[in-house]
Amino acid sequence: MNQSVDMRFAALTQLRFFEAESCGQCSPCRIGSQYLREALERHCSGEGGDDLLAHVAEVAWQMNEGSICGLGQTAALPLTTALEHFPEEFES
Amino acid sequence: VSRPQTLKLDGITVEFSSGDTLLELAQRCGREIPSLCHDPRLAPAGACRTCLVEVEGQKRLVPSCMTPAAEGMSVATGGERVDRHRRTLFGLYLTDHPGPGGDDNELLSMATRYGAPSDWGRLPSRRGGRSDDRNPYVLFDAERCILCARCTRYCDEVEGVSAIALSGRGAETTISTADGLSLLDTSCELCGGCIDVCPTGAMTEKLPRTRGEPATAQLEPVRTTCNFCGVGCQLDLLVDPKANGGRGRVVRTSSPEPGTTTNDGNLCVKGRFAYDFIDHPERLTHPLVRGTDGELHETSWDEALAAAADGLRGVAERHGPDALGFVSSSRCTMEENFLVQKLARAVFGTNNVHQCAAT
Repeated sequence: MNQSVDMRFAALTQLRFFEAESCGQCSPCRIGSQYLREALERHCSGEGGDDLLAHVAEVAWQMNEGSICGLGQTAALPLTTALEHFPEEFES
Repeated sequence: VSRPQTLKLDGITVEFSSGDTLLELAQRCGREIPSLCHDPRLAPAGACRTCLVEVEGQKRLVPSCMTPAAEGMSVATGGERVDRHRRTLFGLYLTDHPGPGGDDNELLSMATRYGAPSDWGRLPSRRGGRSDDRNPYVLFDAERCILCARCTRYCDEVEGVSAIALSGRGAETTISTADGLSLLDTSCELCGGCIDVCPTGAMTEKLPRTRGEPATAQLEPVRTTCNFCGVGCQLDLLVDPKANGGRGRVVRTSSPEPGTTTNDGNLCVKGRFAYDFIDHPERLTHPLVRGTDGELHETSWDEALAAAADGLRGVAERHGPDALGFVSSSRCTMEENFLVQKLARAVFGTNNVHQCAAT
């Protein structure tokens, strides 16, 4: 990655990866990884606005606390850290 | 004798026995912990994550259903972290659930109870169903399923059948049969246990749905003994009190809570689904006695019993007690069968007594 990369796209790629890798056993990871990908996709496409994106912090907290394994516990990081370090990229 | 083991539960010192899980212990002490995938008949799964509690010294919240109580532990079943966990977890569940469906839904009552946010939006369900399954009893509504796997584990661990199992992975995980076959083409015995253990109404009974029967909350449970065989399973007839002009009608049945009756919450296909005979037009509801005209006539129980007694006594007096034979039914309870043999042996003095299940 370099300065030319769209951080939303980079985060989305990783969210899709985690969603595909989620085994489905525990709900925080199974639903959460789907939620985050859906939230960012809707934000990027402009459809449905940012109503899901507003709850990302709470969903990420839940995935970290509630998931059984390391995948679910960290799957939200690409999005939460992108939001934290590159907030300007999420301004519409 | 070893000293009783103790731990601290929400600051109170409580005793426990080896093998107790934190959930069992907390429930026994009257603490409230939500749980969706737990069933006392099943091995703990720790999959629904609703029962997580805080244990001092542990970095992560732990599933109380599968964490054994240990000496000196300090457990918190509430508090800021646990409360936030429940709120956000149920909030997440709500984004993956279609909402009320007219019947009992443990998930939705818990979500309300623990203050889950309902404004997190809805995700499209990616769980596949088996809408073309032609079995007459069990309907699976994949959208309502939360994959707690109570039904599949019940089918495996209690019934020993494994007709249904978790299938697929990730958000596409669903409950399915081998190759998606109809339950009729699997090892399924149609015991209906999957309906009974489902906390969200994803597994429901077909007939009451197609008939548009009232929700369980409007039905009156009547505890009774199943009369299809002599085992003595207890079941609850769920009666719509307004039906049949106020006489009431059995809309469906359910099994009592596990651990409370001999059948431990289990029923078979007959006990669970064969209740339509109750209102069948050909069912005898009054005793009949054959009159001098050779036809059967409705009569009172007193007259019918008197007629039977006269007939039996007459045969015994004319031909001796061994001219009589008593055949009872496997649909009677054990107590009723006992009374039939008592009548034969003690009242009439014959051992000519049989019951169709006593081969």
